[in-house]
Order: sequence, then structure tokens, then C-alpha cells
Amino acid sequence: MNPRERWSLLLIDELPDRPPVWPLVTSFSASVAGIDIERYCRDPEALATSQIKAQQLFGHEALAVFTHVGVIAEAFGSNYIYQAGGLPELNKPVLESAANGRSLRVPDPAVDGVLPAYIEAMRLLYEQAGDRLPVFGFIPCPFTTAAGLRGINDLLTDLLLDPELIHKILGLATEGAIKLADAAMRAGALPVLVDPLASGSVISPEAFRTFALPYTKRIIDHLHRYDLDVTLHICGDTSRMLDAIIETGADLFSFDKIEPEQIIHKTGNYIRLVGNIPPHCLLESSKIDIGEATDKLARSGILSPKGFVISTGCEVPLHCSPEKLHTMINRGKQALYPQRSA
Amino acid sequence: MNKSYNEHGDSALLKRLRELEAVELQSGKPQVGWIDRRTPIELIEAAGEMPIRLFPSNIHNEKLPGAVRSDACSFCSTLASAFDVNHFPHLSAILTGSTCDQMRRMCEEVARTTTIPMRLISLPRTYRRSIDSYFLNQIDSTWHWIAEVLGVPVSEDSLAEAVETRNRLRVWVSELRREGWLSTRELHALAGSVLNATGLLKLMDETIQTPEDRSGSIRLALLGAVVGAPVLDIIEQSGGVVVYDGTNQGDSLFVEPASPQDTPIRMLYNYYGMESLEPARRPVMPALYYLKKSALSYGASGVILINPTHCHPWGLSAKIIKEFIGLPFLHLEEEYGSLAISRLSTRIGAFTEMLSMKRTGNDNR
Amino acid sequence: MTTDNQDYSPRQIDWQQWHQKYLDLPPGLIEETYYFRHLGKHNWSRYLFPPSTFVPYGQKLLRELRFDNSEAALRLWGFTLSEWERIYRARQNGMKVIALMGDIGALAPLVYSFPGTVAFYPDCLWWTPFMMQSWELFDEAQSAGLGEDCCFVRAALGGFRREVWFPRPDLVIATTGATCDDLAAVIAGIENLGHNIHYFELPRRSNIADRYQTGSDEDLIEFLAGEFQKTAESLATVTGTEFDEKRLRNSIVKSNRLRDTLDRLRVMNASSVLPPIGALEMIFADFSALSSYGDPDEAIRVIEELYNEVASRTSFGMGYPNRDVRLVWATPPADPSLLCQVEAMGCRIVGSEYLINQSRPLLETGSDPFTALAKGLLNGSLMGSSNYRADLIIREVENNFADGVVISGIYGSSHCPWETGLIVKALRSRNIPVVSIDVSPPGRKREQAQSLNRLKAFCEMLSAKKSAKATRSFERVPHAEESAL
Repeated sequence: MNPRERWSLLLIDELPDRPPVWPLVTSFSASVAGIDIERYCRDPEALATSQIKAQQLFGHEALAVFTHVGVIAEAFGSNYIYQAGGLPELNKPVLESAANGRSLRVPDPAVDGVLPAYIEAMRLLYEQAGDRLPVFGFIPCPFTTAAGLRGINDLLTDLLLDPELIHKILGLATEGAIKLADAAMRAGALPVLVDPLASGSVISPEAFRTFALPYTKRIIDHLHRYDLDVTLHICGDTSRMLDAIIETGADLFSFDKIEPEQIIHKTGNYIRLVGNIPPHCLLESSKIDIGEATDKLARSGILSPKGFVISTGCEVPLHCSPEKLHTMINRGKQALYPQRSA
Repeated sequence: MNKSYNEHGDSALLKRLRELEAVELQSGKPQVGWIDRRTPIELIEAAGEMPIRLFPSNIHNEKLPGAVRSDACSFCSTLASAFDVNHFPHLSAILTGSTCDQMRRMCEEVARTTTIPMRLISLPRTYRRSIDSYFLNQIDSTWHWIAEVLGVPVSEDSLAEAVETRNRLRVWVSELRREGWLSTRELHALAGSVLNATGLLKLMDETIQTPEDRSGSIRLALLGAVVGAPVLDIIEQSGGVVVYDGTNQGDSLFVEPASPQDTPIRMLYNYYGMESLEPARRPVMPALYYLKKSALSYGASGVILINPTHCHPWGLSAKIIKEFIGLPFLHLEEEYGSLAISRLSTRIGAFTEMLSMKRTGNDNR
Repeated sequence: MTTDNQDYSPRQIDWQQWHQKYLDLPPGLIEETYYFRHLGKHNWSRYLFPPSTFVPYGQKLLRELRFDNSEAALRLWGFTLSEWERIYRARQNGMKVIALMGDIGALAPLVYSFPGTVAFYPDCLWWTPFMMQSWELFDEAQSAGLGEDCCFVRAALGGFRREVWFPRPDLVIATTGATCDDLAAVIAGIENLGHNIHYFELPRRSNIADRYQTGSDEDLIEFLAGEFQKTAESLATVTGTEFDEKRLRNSIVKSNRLRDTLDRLRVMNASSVLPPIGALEMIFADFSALSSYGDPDEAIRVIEELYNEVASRTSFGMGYPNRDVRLVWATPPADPSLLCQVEAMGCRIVGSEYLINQSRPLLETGSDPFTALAKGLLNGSLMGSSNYRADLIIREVENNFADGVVISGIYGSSHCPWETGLIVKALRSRNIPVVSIDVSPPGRKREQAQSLNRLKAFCEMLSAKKSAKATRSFERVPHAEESAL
């Protein structure tokens, strides 16, 4: 069974031979390929090459196109600084002044910012490996994009003081995300909606319901119209917003700081789960500990009724030890479903 | 009497067989061609005709017949082109049992290019537990057809006698093969002989000799559709000896019948329709079990499978045959009618050498 | 046609255009289009989705095809492309999964006479390597000993070994005898995978030089009726339901309804002044007659809607322009993009012989149903001689006033090397232009380019011939002023 086939079974409520193993190998692949991050973020061929090389080396079971959470915000006009050895950082949000919102135009993925390169990377990966491996295109959710448009501090303040403005921004960000997701789909990628700023580590469950859920749901509804399977990734602690996360309608939820048994118990009948070896373990823990953690995760994961993907809670760190990642992946591949319904 | 050979390497049996066949071919007796191992040759013998096995071994497939493409089975296309060039001018009729799709299409092609009456007998591809009247009628109606075409009477007595005689021949041949008294070369000659079973029994009675000591040779099973004499030469020159021949011209033609039936037609149906084990039939496992059992019981230490290019029943089954039999295995695909002798020699030589080293290693242990 | 702002003029559009156009469909229509209606409405049973839905799941070839722009065509595509998921959903809902191999449409009515069953043809996995532009299934078959010397149907063996492309069948009904050797090799390959296999014996029609026959071989019909009966016994064992003759008769009636609609669709497609629908839609409509893509009731709805669309276009004289050359296509192209390519060369496919002739004629309803099925099977494309197939093709040419024939074969298969030349000869003896190509495997672009060049030259030749003929006809008619002189 190749990864594409394994995922396909999972997504139609069938148990494959074992859970797919997919640590979130994103910009880490640039280090594997010896490509600097800025080039990784801007050059689609560099990104595609990095992903392919990393996959050939580690054998994980999907390809991912993700650079930073501000790609949509950047396309709207926010300024990001690309620095050596690290991911781009927000320098100047385009909506520093609330008044700027009136002139904001929803970006076109074909021409604006780094989006054309982003989409092209998806297309290249799909061409090269799309028969054997799913390609996941990461789409920043509106709340996270809003942070890139307004600046995180101003955003959080506006949630209380000027919610109407935030809803307007979120509306624009949603349109931007829908366009990007649409373009990703047409490049051959399956969408992963990524919303780190909507994590319970940042906002309350009430704020999530008010400012994140409706807009994420709009994107998912749009994609569901095409019957696409949508993954929602929110890192951090989302234990208090699981009900809301289910309400988004996402087909898979990539989780981070929750105990697997807890999330499986609460959501395992409703949503497929993806997670959650802590990324810092791949830096700090020993191979033995990583192996045991993966085993433990797998033992819980194979009991998840809707299906499970063995993954990391968030992106594999840039300076991850390759041997440790190997350990995680190889141990993950030993988890077998006891019985397939086929 | 120990086996002796003339200057051509022919044993007494082969020498005498050639003499008798030459006489038979000069006799003016009508000839009926037959092709596949599932052909009830007894029907030809009962009609008193001369069975001619259609092996166009000395025609090179330079020109494909009609509009047949180069990716057709090279045996079937060579045979069809043989008719194109009137290679068999004396046939009164052609008879064959059904095996594979290409074989039946080859028959259609031959029927288009020749006016010789031809019959392709439909036999079951599955293994039936009981006799089907449909297939029984196929054999019965073929028998009447032969009689009509050749203008001979339909006689149940002569058919019963032909069936009984050929069964005696099978029993004796298989016994001699088990004891090592009949070489594969002799076996091929008997399988494709123009003599009927009575003549062959008499021949064997007169000429069978003590087997040659081939204990030093590498014992091999030979599988495949049809192989030419050069292949046996190459095997022997490489230090091998074919102890079991599972091709369409070997031991599989002389399998002892398993269950007697009350009428000769039912005997024929039983033998050719139900008991005949070959890779073209489904399921394929019974044939594989049989080949494995035979190879092992004859003490083969390795298997060579040679199929004509684009032969599907053998060629596409080669891997499962290899895995199932579990012995060292050499699979060769050759253009029928244009064997690449030096390539064959190299590969077979390397194979027998490997087996020899293995045997030496085992002996040393 | 249910939306207000739908473009009514028939066009072929690509998958990107369908992606956009899809947003114009009312959500209610999407909600109400679902299969397995007896199980109620579920999210998973909706199927009205555009080609772009399937692209991210690996169906790469969809990006190269041209699709009809009607909702009816969209429905056909969604229904066809969702088949593999449907088989799994059937299993999930307690239905028995029956794999049929080699009979190509003859056995499905019998299977569907048992309630709670779904039938499918693993043989049809031969499209998958082309749709996914992938050698995965071929490589899997190669590891089992079936390499490029075997026809593309070897992908079915790859599918069985992978245990992904369909759930493990409750029963495999494998036809042996008058099928190609390649399929026989595939069937041998699945034997030791532990499947429950029932073998259906199919003797070829017995007359070597036979021409086209319709049920004249009475012994064979009786034998085949017996084979269908034995198969019914196996199905009864597997399903736990006794065979019921009335249900079989009803199943035959249903199958006939589909076959009849398809027949009328074919006639209408060929006889319209402009081609009202594309060759791709027609081939996948044709193949619905095999196993109804797993849902006979829904298949009827899909094909009837397609028929209505085509009828409507025909009545208004609508169709694709600039498709003057009329072709019959023989042997289904494993690479369906060839059909689009040929259409782009100015041709329309007005007739076909897709090796599924047994799924075309109506089954008898007044007689014993097993006998009816047996008689139907006698029409099988591979049951008789190559002459029979040649006659089928000639008949298609004559009935549909075709200008020429395209034969798309496969190098290394068992019947193509023998019958292709004979068919070409038979056609040329009747002055019917013909070109024969071999379908290239996925990824062999240079090989494919050669075939496309030949097709292009053929189509241009036919087009020039037609133009010359039209000009001569024009010249023969005197002008009004001249005739008055």
C-alpha cells in the first residue's frame, strides 16, 4: 500500500493497514536539502525539491507546502522580513491603522505576494509524486491572517474594543483563504487550514467561537461543496474548544498540546485525528524516549474510531536531529490496525 | 541389452522409429494433423489415419502469416505461417483441443488460409466434477466429423480399441520414464510420432534397452509449451539431463488415466476434458501441484521453463510456477523457430553449473 | 437544465472551467443527487462533484480531458468517478461485494437479482494507471509476474494485491474460456490470495469460420444457462438469500431499461447533425451497462438524464461544431485522453466496438431468465471468431455512416495481434479507411506522439476526402443560370 492509497482509505472511513505516519515536515526539509529558508519560501522549485528529498530520506507519508502563517497577510500587503536561518517575521502589518482596511484588496493567488510560488510548489509536487503521495497545501485561517494584517497585539485588543473592525478584517481574510484554498485544490493539493493564533494558548474558547469558528467554517463549507477532505491544524492547547472545533466541520484535526486519550475520547467519533509528538522532543529527547512516545501515541491512536494519523503536534523544528525523526517515523510505521473492515 | 547409439547419437529405439516412420509416411495412408496435447489422438487412430503432430520445426518465421502481428505467440504464428507456405501438403484434416485464446485464433487463421477441414474441439477450461454433456458432445461430434471427412465408418469397437491401446502405451511409457529407461529425446519422438499406439508399443517391445547411466548429470525438469530438439542437446552438453518433461510434448502426454469410464467417448472426455492438468486451465493450482509433485518425484534438482515468445499460458505463469515449485528455476523465452543457440547455451550452461556447484557443496557437507 | 444562468450551448470545457461553473449549481441539486437511495441520504453518498474534486486525490489525467458542459454530463462523471468509494460504502452498509471478471456485463443482472449486493469489474482498473498517470498498479502486477507482455488489464491483479482499490470481495466470479489470455493470467494471479472464487465456464462459439450469430447455437445456450444457474447457487450461498426467479426477471427488466436508453442514446448521438455529446461521455455511459457502476437504480437516472440532455440538444440542432469526420472506434482506449485528442482533430465518434457487445442487446423477457442471460452472452465480442468482431465493426460503420475506423490495440495482448490485421483487411476490402494504433502506457509521451501523428494524418486524410467529395457533389449540380441555358 503506498501512502496515497493509505490516506484514501482513511478518508472514506476505512481502516488501512496502519495509520499514515506524517510528521509535519515543512521548512525542516529546507535544511535537509541544504537550501536557505528565504529561497525555500520564494522559489517553488526549491521548495518542491526540498520536500521530495526529505520524503525520500525519511519516508513520511505526505508532502507539505507550508512556509509561514503570514503568506496571505503578506499578499494583502503586510511586510515580512526574511532573515537568514529563520522563518519570515512580521515587520509592518498592512492594517497598522484601522483606516487602511477600506483600501484592502483580496489577493489573487496567481499574482500577489509569494502566493504564485506557493501554488506552483504544490503543482510541482503533485506532478512529481501525486500518484503516490498526497500533497497538502497549508492555508492560513482568517484569524491567523488577521493577526498578520493587524498585528497580534492590536488584534487582541480590537477583539474587545473594536470587534466590528475585526469582523471586517476576518471577512476579507476569509475571502483570501478561500481563493488560496481553491488555487491549492486546482494545483492538486488537499487543504490544511492552519490557525495557530486561534489556539487556546492565545484566545479563549468564547473568542474562538466568535472570531475563528464562523470564518473557518465558511472556508470548510466552500471546500466541502467540492467534497474535499479538510484538515484543521491548531497548535497549542485546544482542549477547551474541542466542541467548537468539531463544529467547524473539519474532516481531520491536527492537534498539539492535548493528551491523545482525552481528545480521542471527546472527538474520536466525529473527526479523524492527527498528532501529536511534541516537536521539542525531536530536539531534546533521546531516541529511546521518542520511540516510546511514538509507541504510546500509536497504541492510543489506533483505537480512535474515525481514524488516526501519527504526526507531530506542530512543525518539525528547523534543527531537528534526522536520526530522531527517523526513529519517530519508523516506530510509527510499526503500528498496525488489528483488523481491517475490507 | 545396454543402450547403444548410432553415429547420429540416436538410440536403437530412435533409429528404428525413424525407419518405421519413413515407411509409414510412404504408405499413402491419409494424414490427420494435430496440434495441442488436449487433442484426442485416439480419434485419429480409431479412424485408421496417420497422426501428424504439427511442429513446424524446420520453418523459420520469416514472414508472419496474413496480417498477424509480431507480438503474437511465436509458436502459433509460426504454425500459421507453415500453412501459408503449404508446409503440410498431405493433410486430410486438422484436429486440436482448446487451450488458450491465441491457439484458437491461430486455428481461425489457418482455417482462413487453407481448405483442409479443421476442427477445434471445445474442452472445459475449468475442472469439472461431473461430465458435462456439452463437452461430451464436442468429442462425440468430432468423432463423427472425422469419420465423415475421411469417409471412414464410425466404429465404437475401433475407438474402444484405440483408447485401450493408447492407455496401455501411456502406462508403459510412464513406467519406463520413472525407471529411467526412456530418455526425454525418445519421449519427444514418441509424443510426436506418426505411428499409432499399436506401432509404438511394438517398437518399444523390440528396442527398449537398459538405461544409460546418467547419475553424473544434473537432473532437471523441463516445462513450457514446446521445445525443439536443440534444447535437449544444449541441456545434455551442459551436463544436464531432463528427467521430467512437463511440456506439451513430454510426460504430460503419457499420464496414466485416473478413472475408467463405461464408454470410449467418456474415457476421452475424462482424460482430455477433466484430468488434463495444464497452466491454461483454471484454477491454475491443480496444474502447479502436479508439476511440482512430478518434478520432485523424478528427482529434479532444478527446473527450466522455456516458452515461445508471447506465449501467455506459460509465459505469464512463469513466476507463480517458479514460486510454487520452489526449486532453482531458469525461465527462458525464445522465438519459436529461431532459437538463439549461443544465448541458450550460455544461460543453460550457467544454470547447470550453478546446480552442480550446489550439489558438490551439499556432497562435501 | 435547472439553473437560470446556465450556458445552454453545448461546449467541451476543461476541469478548471468546470470548477468555476460548479459554483453556479444550486446547493439543493447537489444535496439531492446521491446514490444508494435505499440507504437514505448521507454526506458520503452525494456524488455531484466536478472533475476538480478528484484531482487532489491523484486523478491527474482529468486535467487533460475535455468534458461536456451539461449538468447531465457532470452527473455522469461524478457517478463514474465515485464508483470505487461506492463499493466500499456498500460493504460498510452490509452489502455483499461481488467481483465479476471477464464476462463484461453478462453476469451483473444475475448478481443484482440478489438483494443487498453490489457488483463491480476489477478488469476496469485498467483505466486507473492512465487516470492517475501512475505505474503503481503495473509495478505491483510485475512483481507477480505480469509485465509488459500482458495487456493493461494486469492492473486488476495489482489492485487485488494492493487490497485498496476495492474491499475484499465476498465472491469473485471469474469467467474462463472465451476471454483473452491476459485476463486468464490475472485470474491465475489472484488464486493464491485466498479469495472465494467461482469459475464461470465460457466456451467459445464452436464454428471456426462463423459469422455473426445471435443465439443459434442451442447446445451452447443450454450449457451457459446451466452455468448461470450454478452461479446463482454460489450467490445464494454467499448472500444467504435463496435465488428467486421473479427477482431475476425484474433485474433483467431493469438492465434492459438501461440498455435500451443507451441504445437510443447511441443512435441519437450518431444521427444528430452536430455531435451533441462527447466521446468521453459516451464511452463511460456505455460502460455503465456492465455493472451500473454499483447502483443500477441510480445508473438509470444518470443515463436517462444524459439521454434527455442529448435529445434536447438534438431537437434544437445543437452540438459541437467543426467535427465533420465521422469515426467508429474499435477496442476501448485504456487512455481515454485519446478520444479527446481525436475530437480535437475535427472528428466525432459515431459508433464503437468496445469489446462489451454482450452488454448491448436487450435480454429476452418472455423466456426462462437463465436462457435469456445465456443468449445475451452469445453476443460477446470475444466469444466468436475475429470475423465476428470485424462484422460488428463493419455494421457500426454502415449503420452510422462512418468515414473511417480507429482501432486502438495493446501490444502484447492475446487477441490484438491476431484480429487487428484481419479487421483492417476486412474493412479495407470494403473501402473503409482504417488506422490501427497501439495505446502507449502512461508516461511514454514520445510513443504516444507517434500514434497521435498517425491519427492526425488519418483524420486529415478523411477530412480532405470529405471535402473533395462535397466539392464534386457541388460541381455536379448545375447552377440555376446555367441550367436555364
